[in-house]
Amino acid sequence: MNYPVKIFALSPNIVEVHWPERIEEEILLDILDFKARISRKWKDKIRSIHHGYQVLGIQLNEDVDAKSFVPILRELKRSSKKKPELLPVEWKFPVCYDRDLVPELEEYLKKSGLKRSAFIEKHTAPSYLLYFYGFLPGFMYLGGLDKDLHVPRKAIPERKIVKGSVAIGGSQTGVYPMDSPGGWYVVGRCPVGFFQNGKLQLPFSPGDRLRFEAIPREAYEEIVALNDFNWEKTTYHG
Amino acid sequence: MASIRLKKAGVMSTIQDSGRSGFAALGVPQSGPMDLDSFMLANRLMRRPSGAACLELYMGGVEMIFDTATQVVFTGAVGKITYQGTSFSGNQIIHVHKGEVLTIAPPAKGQWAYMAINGNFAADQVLGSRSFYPGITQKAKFANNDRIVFYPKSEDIPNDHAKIKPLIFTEYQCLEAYPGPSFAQLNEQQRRQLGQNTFTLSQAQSRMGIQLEEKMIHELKELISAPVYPGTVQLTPSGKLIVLMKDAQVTGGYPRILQLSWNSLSKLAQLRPSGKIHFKILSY
Repeated sequence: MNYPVKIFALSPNIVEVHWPERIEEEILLDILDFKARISRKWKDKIRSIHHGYQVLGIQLNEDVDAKSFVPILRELKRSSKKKPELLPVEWKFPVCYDRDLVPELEEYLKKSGLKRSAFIEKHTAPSYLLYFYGFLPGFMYLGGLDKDLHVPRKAIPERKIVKGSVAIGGSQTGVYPMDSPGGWYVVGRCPVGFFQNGKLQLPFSPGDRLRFEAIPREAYEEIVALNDFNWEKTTYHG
Repeated sequence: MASIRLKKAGVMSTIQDSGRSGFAALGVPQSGPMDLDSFMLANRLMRRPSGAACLELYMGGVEMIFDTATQVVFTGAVGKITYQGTSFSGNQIIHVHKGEVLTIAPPAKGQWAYMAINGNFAADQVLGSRSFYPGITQKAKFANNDRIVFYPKSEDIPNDHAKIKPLIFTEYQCLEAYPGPSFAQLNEQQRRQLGQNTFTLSQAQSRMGIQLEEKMIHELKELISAPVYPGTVQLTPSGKLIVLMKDAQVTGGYPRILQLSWNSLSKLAQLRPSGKIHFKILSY
């Protein structure tokens, strides 16, 4: 799909590309395609490139002038061809919803009025689309939470949500990669650490899908003790 | 290998280099020096590469003891530096020896200072940078009695004869800013307000951002999350402005009404709470 995009210099070293202001998989795929082409072609000009739902931000190296880069990007966008569609990757993401491990889940169940089993079923059913990382290092913006699971964020954020917490806030669900204050309701815990030996270990890229898999407490403890995890991926067929 | 013991670590002492570029897509903040100009000056005076790691200090109050003779220089908001009964000022190369205490008093004005050393700080490089960031690097800041490990150079750098005068920091700054993506949605009165009024820095400031006191009443809606950068000025629903600094998150949903120039970001960083600013809105 060819979206009408706006490309402009935000400052002498930042260029932005704006897609229509919507949360849509098609828009994400177009952003990812354009981002990959820019990164391939102009690697030496770019300090950093990242995106949200519909904006791609490009921070340029000091010696590159944003204004002169705009027409280059416009041309690159015009010349974009329809590429063969690849089937996205789907990752199995272990989550433990154990009562003792995650006592906070009760608070969420009360708030949402859902039964435990119904909640777990609805939370593990969708294939969540990873739009981008933001808020914290390694924090995923995932799309696809069942409407029945939406709850308003807490008015007063918790001082500390521990790392590995799987949480729900508003219409979103996500995983806290590190301890952080936060206004979301904790509903589960992931046994895999994203930070190992000073490296961010996140095999998932925007455009990939994640499916939560409920694991029992024993399996959770086993993975924690192993301190090593082989992420399993399959091809997503929709 | 040599080390510095921080007898008193001060409020917020960290290692900073030019920061993490290229990891924003993983949600990793850029980090790096709050006052880039003073940081680069420290490296220039010490004849180090412009992005080499320095010790960043907030509001002085630091005492350090070296276990090896070396040279250091302080730039930025530096209070009185005392070593072996002698006073030094910023931008001066100081020869230090083993075992004596060097003290840096709180600055009279400004708040961030940089210390470059004739050698390399050994702090771990994580995702391409030594800049401290909670959760990314092992330490978020130094504590009392921490040791800062460094590799000293065997050769001294020559003393400079031409001295660069330390910058005088003020309580008022004019900041250059470019209109942000949501600027066009402000009405004429709001734009005028933004370009002409004086704003005050609140107590709420950190390496992540600085909140301003004055409210700007508006009807702009929150947006779906978009990229933000150091220097982005966000307009919150309550009308308060937040200027994002070096450790800011990489995406946000508040309307982005201005983007500060790099140079202005350094100037803003040195303003204390209750300092005043006004925005000079440039077109670009």
